[in-house]
Amino acid sequence: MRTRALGAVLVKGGLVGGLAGCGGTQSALDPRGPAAATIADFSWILFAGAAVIFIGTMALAAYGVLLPDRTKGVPPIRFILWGGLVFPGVTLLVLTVATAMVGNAVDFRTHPEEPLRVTVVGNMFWWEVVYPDLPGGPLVTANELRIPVGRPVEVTVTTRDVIHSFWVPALHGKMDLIPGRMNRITLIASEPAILRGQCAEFCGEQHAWMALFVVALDPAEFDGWIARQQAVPEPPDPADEQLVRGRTAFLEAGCGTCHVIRGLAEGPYAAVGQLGPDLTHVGSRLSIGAGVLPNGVGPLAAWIAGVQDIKSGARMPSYSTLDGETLTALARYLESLK
Amino acid sequence: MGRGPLRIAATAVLGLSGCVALAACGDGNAVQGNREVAGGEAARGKAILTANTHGCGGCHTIPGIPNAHGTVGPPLHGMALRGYVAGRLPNDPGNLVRWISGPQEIDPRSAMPDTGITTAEAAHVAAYLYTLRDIPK
Amino acid sequence: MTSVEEARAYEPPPPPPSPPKLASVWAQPKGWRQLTEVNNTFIGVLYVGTGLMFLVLGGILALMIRWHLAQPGGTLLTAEQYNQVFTLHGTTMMFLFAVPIMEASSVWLMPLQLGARDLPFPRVSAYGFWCYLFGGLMAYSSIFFWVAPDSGWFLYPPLSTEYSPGINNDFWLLGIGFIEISAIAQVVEVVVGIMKTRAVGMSLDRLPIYSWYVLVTALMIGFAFPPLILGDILMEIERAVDWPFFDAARGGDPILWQHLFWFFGHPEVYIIFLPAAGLVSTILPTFVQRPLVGYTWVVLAAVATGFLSFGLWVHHMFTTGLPHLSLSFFSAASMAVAIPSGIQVFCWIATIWTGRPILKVPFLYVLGFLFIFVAGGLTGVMVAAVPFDWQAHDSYFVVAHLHYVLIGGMVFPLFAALVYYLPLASGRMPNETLGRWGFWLTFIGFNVTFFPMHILGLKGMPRRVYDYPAEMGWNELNLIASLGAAMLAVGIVVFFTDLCWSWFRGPKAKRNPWNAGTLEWATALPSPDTGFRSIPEITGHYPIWDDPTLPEKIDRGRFYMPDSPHGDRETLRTGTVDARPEQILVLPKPTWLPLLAAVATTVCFGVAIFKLYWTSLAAGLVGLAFILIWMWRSEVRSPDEARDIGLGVRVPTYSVGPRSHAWWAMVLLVVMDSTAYGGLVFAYLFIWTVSESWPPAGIEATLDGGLALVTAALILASSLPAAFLGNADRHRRRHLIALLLAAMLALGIAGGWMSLALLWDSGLDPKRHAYTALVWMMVLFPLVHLGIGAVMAAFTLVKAWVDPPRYRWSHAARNTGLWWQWSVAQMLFSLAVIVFYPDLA
Repeated sequence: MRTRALGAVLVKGGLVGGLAGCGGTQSALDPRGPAAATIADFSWILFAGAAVIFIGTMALAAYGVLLPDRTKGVPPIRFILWGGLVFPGVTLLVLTVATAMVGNAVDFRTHPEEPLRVTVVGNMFWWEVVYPDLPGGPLVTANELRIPVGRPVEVTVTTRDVIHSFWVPALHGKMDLIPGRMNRITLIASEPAILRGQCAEFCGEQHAWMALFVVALDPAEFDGWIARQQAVPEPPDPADEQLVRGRTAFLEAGCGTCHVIRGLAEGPYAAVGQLGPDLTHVGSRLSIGAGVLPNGVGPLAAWIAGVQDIKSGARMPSYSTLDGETLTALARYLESLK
Repeated sequence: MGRGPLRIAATAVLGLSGCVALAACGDGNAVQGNREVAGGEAARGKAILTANTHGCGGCHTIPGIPNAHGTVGPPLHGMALRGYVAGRLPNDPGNLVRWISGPQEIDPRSAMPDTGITTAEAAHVAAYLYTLRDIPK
Repeated sequence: MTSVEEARAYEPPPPPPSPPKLASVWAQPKGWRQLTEVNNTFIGVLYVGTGLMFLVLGGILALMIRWHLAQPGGTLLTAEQYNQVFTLHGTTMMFLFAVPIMEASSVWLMPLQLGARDLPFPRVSAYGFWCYLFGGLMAYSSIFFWVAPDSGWFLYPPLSTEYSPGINNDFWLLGIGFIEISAIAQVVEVVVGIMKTRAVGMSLDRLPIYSWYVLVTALMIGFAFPPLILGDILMEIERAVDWPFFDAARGGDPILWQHLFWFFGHPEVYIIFLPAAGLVSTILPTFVQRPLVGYTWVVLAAVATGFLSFGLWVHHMFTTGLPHLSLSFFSAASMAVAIPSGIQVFCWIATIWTGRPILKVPFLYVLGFLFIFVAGGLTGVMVAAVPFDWQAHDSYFVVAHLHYVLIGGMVFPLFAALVYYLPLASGRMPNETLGRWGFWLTFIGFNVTFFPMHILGLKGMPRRVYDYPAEMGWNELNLIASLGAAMLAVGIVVFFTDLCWSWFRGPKAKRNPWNAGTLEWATALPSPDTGFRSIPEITGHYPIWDDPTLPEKIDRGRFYMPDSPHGDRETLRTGTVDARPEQILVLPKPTWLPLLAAVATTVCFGVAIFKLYWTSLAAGLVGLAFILIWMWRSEVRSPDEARDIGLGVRVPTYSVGPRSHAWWAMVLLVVMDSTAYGGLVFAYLFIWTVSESWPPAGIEATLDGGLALVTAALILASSLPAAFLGNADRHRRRHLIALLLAAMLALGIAGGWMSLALLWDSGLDPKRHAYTALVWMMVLFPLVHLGIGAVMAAFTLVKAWVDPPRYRWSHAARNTGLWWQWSVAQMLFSLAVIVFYPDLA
């Protein structure tokens, strides 16, 4: 822990630069969970050790270059034996053992507490998040993983298309999402926080904009969130013409071919599509387009009409054929799905 | 030592790595009317647009704002020089702030939604937009 | 006064002119015919120059990347363009710059350092060079039309297969695949050269240290590239005809590609680093004027690095969810490779300690190398620690690490060598002032560019992103890195300015200007096309320091082969271990054939990108025709069986079997090919282990055991006549050879048909499942080998039957036999694995 205190001093002292802004931290040096904290400590130890060895080696070389008369007569073979073989050998042996110990320390698979199970499915270029065994039935959301503080969360990762990698640096290292495989990583958050994660394996045109927010909540708050998310959204107040029009537009424009809004599964334009993110509570999310825009009526309208300007290569076409009133109504309707 | 093909190779390297000169241009256009926004600070407006909290850059191309490359709405080059806002209001600070903060009240058929931006924020944004004088040729 | 100082004080008299015959036979053709030259002094310089051209081209892409990322929301490139630029940057630097320029350096330098007039297969070097030039330009030019590869230089499926329908990745697979083949050609050249064409007395324990490094590297290329070539073939087949090797939905596995790629990809790093370390070990002693300390240690360290580097490819896959036990193993192996590196670093420092350093520009680059490489090595140990790697992997930390290792470990030594060897190539001295400016700008610019990236990575910035949010705290560091890149670029421009200006206008260099001890500096400057006037007998690691009058003795023709009385290009073949003179190798003269064959090969691969398969086939046949003409004109028949090489020694002009360079080349080729075949067998077994049952459930069609037995019997029978080829050749019975070849061909063709019938009859559809696709590949791979063997056999049959007056055919016959038996072994093994083993298991 002391090493991290030193790290914190360096961070605040400006060596490492400013902290992340409102988007949530994404720094491995700013850990918010025990695994990332242990790895951060380990990183600082590695860094310090590497710095000492580097300075020592350079000092030896500089000594030979700058003071050539002083270095004669050192038996070279002994020099090579100790400096090149024995010292690195011992250091690396220690490091191998330390590596294995740290590796075990951040592996929470054997944690005594029953984990919350979550499945994260990668898509080009967004994340589907599924809570498969909640008491009230499975819950599907997107680009946002909310978890209770302190409880282990077993994340099973897989993909629907290419290889992606799940990485929330403030909680843990990476785990790849590989077609045909189910990989698991167990996370624990130690304090309430908003954390940013990002796809770490190059996955195509919009790899840069495939972010995921992890929101660590107090357990009671988490339960409340789950309950709100599991509820089917109320239909819009018939008096609010714009909202009614927005909902109609959502269905008639064919949005339901790719998206789900629970409660709209009936009728000729049912919203049951499986290709895009579930939008049941899209208005409650922190961002849209997997982190490319903050949430809100304006960004939603922009996204619908100009996806390909904002995130070229996303699998959704730009709906700039909707008339102005419909577009604004649709954006407001989606924003109302809290 | 063979010089012929070596010379050719050297010339090819130089040719391939040669630089392309870029032509620069720009000239001053006269601004018509008042462009002073009461309570608006251009720097804060720029910060609001950069954070993209209200999604402006998703629809509009806005000079000086990273990632504001939208083509849904009109590009905002030379906002200081434009005659009209939204095709109907004379371009003055009051109208611009009104339009930004509540387009649906001015034109309910517009595709530009009420984004929830406050009047104060809209004033900052307007102040920034009035710093834009260049229109690409 | 030590001998080093004596050497410094000694000024050899100007060299007397070479005997006219020797000079004229090695003289370069003039005008356009210069392109027919195959001599290493010509090809080597073009080769190095081409490598530098690709460094500049790759560097321009790097500058575009840094320009674009200087601030969030960069507008220089679109997302699609950025992905092409970074993919092509990595591809260019790795495949078109780093590996080829190291091979180029060895092709140019090795003969001088070994005391040979040329390496044993000059036409192969020339062909390899032209293929590299044309293939490289073809692959690179894709960026001008924005159709460059865009799935990363590692080309992970399914992004690179199912999700990239355009021709972009075909440029990678076909362009780079074909350059890899040329890399393999150079391996044969370099390894056989080191084994067979050394100066008299240069026994293995006196081999110049650089040659040891090159030998290790060449063997590593030989083992690492073939599995990648196999991977390329599998991927191209998947893309072109939809055989699902890597498609998880049909039983394939994308992880299989990662294994094949990194089994190449990690040794690749050492393939780039080791020859550079060899240059450091050569240059550093010169600038401290003392021999390298710990020659044996360094050699063993290089060999150990070579071996270990094949055991740690999985450290590129620490985040793929592998079991913890294998993570620990590969973590330990990755760390272990730091030990030989440590030994080398301490040998270099110890060498510095024994002498009095002279801080000229090449030595500055060596010191810069030490600084950057040690830093990169230490971050390498960090990423070998698995939990740290889980955070650092695929982040900018790794970008920083790999550039420290590769630019520090390879570009700095290369720059040292370019300045150091400038007098040897051009006869002129570099400019010290420009050189120093270039060095400091490069060194500081490098660190300013790449050091901040370590921090960026730990602050969460992933690699390969075309954009990043403005509020992550990454902006300042990105801007600093971009400014550093500009400085680095200026440094490189200054460096090249020095190099180009000094090449044509620098002051004339005096003989051995740095007072080096190694043999290459014993020639007149610039090194003449003949190489050494006479091939010396040497007694130690530093021949010039051992005997300062050696250059003069060489000039005066006091040693072996001082002239070329028969008007042939000749070099001396010496014993593999003891380097005693054994044979005169008669080398080919300038010819258009390598260039023409390379053009045809380029067309063959180039049009295949555009799916013009018939044109491709036609070009391939034309290329084959050129190569067959070339082979026809091999094995020059000399009127006399033995020649006088001076100092009272007579050696034969021809040899066969394990003594000959041709035998070594074929055995080397077979060994390298075996790793490609090994990769295929690995793929089959790998897919087996990830499948629940084998053959997989739902695939009813089976391979007929009886048919397989008949196939195996026919193929096995065809190897019998092949086994007697050597015997028949020893007894000079050319008609018997023709008969044996005919029998071999007949049985082989029958067996080949049967193997196809086996596949056909099985009803296994190769598009259906990775299993069926691999069964087809397991048969087709040996079948293609037998097909190549059949071409060789037909060629040899005709040559033996015709018995051309000026050429022999013994090597052709014996090598055909070797190749055929290897192909038969493959086919039998394949049949055993696909037909019989699943039943047993």
